[in-house]
Amino acid sequence: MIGDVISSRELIWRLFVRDFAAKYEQSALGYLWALGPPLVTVAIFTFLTRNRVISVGETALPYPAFVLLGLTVWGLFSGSLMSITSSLTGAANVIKKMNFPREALVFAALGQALVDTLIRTVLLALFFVWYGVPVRWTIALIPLLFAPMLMLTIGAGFLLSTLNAIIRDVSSALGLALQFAMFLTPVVYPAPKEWPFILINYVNPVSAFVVAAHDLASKGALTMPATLISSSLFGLLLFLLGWRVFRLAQPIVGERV
Amino acid sequence: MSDEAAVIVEGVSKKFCKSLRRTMYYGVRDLLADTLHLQRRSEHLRPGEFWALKDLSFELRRGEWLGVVGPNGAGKSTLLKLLNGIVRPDEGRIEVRGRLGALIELGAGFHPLLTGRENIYVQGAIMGMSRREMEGKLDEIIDFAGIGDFIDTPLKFYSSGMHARLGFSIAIHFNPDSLVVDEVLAVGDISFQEKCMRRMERMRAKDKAVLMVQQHTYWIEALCDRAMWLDKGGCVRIGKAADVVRAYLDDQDHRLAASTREELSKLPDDMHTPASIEVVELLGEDGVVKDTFYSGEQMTVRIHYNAHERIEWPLFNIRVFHRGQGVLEASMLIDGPEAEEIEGRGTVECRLDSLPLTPKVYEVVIFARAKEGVSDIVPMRTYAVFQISEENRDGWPMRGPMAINHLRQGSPVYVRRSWHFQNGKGSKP
Repeated sequence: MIGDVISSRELIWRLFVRDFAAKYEQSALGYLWALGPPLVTVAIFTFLTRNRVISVGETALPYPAFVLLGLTVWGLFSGSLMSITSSLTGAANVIKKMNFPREALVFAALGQALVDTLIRTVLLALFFVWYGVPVRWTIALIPLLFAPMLMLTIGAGFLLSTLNAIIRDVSSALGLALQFAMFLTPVVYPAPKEWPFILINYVNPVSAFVVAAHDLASKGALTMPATLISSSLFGLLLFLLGWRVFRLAQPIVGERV
Repeated sequence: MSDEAAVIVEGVSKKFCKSLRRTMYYGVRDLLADTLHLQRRSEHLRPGEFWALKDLSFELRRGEWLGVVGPNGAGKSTLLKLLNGIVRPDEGRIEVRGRLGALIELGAGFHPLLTGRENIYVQGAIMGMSRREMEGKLDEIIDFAGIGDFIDTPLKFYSSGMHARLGFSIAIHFNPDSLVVDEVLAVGDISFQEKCMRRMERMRAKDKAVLMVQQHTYWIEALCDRAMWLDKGGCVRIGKAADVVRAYLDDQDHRLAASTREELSKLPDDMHTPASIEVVELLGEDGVVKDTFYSGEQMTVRIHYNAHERIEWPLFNIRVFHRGQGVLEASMLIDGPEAEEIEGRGTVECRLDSLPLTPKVYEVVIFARAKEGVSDIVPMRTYAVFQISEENRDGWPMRGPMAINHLRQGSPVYVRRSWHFQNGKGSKP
């Protein structure tokens, strides 16, 4: 399996470049559009908390920086999952006609979300400077968190893209579900400590990564190392399972996409 | 041609589902079954399913060109998808030895906003070419496509012809061991088609195998060694291309004749005419009624009429039509009357000594007039349909590369002929 991905790296790269070049080809602002959704969300939540419409309690970072960091991590997860899920249906025409390793579509779709995240990181750095957040060296560890989180994302993406090829409802349902899921993840509020909300930290596998990112940027130490490890293991398992199903399903997908 | 197999298809069956809703349901079920390694009962059809291919076996040998013919829904596209590995057979086995290329949908992975050059890289990668391979062939691909400066223009400004030329050029440079070709050879203008054919011929010389699906049987007759006739998911006949194409076209004519005949039977009876024709029979030399004749054979047209009143000097007319065009005529308006009067039921026969016709479907149109030949007693209408079969062409020279197809598309009248060059070199092969 790994060997196939290595041998199709050229294809992944070409598909990525194709989508990258084509995405904002006829647009004036181009990749700046990646900054739109997080900026708007940050603005809304900062406004709501400043005016005490909602109260999220103490955050370890200045609130706008806290939200933007959370959104960047969450955005990587939800953005990749969305684009991976529709990667097979988006290429239906090619899938029906040509035989090539379909994983390439998945990894190329992931590439788009990575680029978005990279652009948001620049914005995040500006926020940190603006709000005078002291930079800890542990902040450099945050990208390491992305590895297990992306395993989780790709694993789920393998399953959902396959299902979406057979039943189109999947991507619509996912869009809706992710909107809810963001509020069930400690993105715009710190990790809850009271029952029953504390469940969010354990049941939602993405929580651990968002919390860990907040921890590494502020405290410099992990507050929930055990959940991080279990979520990472879960991610690895889902990745392997997802890949296996994805492989087995390709003939069915070729027939029905 | 060597005897070594390039592609082996053995007892392959594939079913599809007609209903979109059921497709989703079966898809999820099959996916679960495959994931959990449960045995799928693939040999049975579930509600709404049908066999797109059933128990198909054949071999494609190296250096061989195999043409596939068949009506719509025969399973041709399914076969291509199976060979290409896009779908998996429900039963049976497919073995492809070496690299299989597909000229199926040219430029399927093209993106309209990228330039031609960028698209070459994308399409090449989808087909499985390495970067080095692509870079080595880039100039050749661009050159072959012959689209000039447009290579650095986004694809959305291409004409459909340029689009197809670029697609074909990439596909043909993939350098496969075997090639499956859908109906894509008719891309671009005549000179580009010529170029494509020359390129394909070079593949034949290199012992590459080609499987070609074509509605237009003249491609198959002219280019293929063998042909396979598919119908309703099964192989009706496989063998020498000329034999299979001939049998297939005869069968097509046969179906056309049958459907025309059925339409005729639905026509209402003539009303309020002085006479009517009840049945028209076509008889062979041996006096037996039939609907398929050989070229040059004798045919007797027997008309069962019913004269509702006394008719003096009836004049019957028989015309043979092909596609609405009169081909030949036997008419008492020319030959003169044969009986002074008729009344009640009776028959009249006309013997055509020899049918100088090429293989096609023909209609027998009849009308009748009285005495002076001005007023109709039976209005003009088609009463019978017959087919000239290509079997048993007695001594016709048919050595041309498109003899079978051209004979059907050309003139309906066949005249014996001979050709002589005044100062040509060499004798006929």
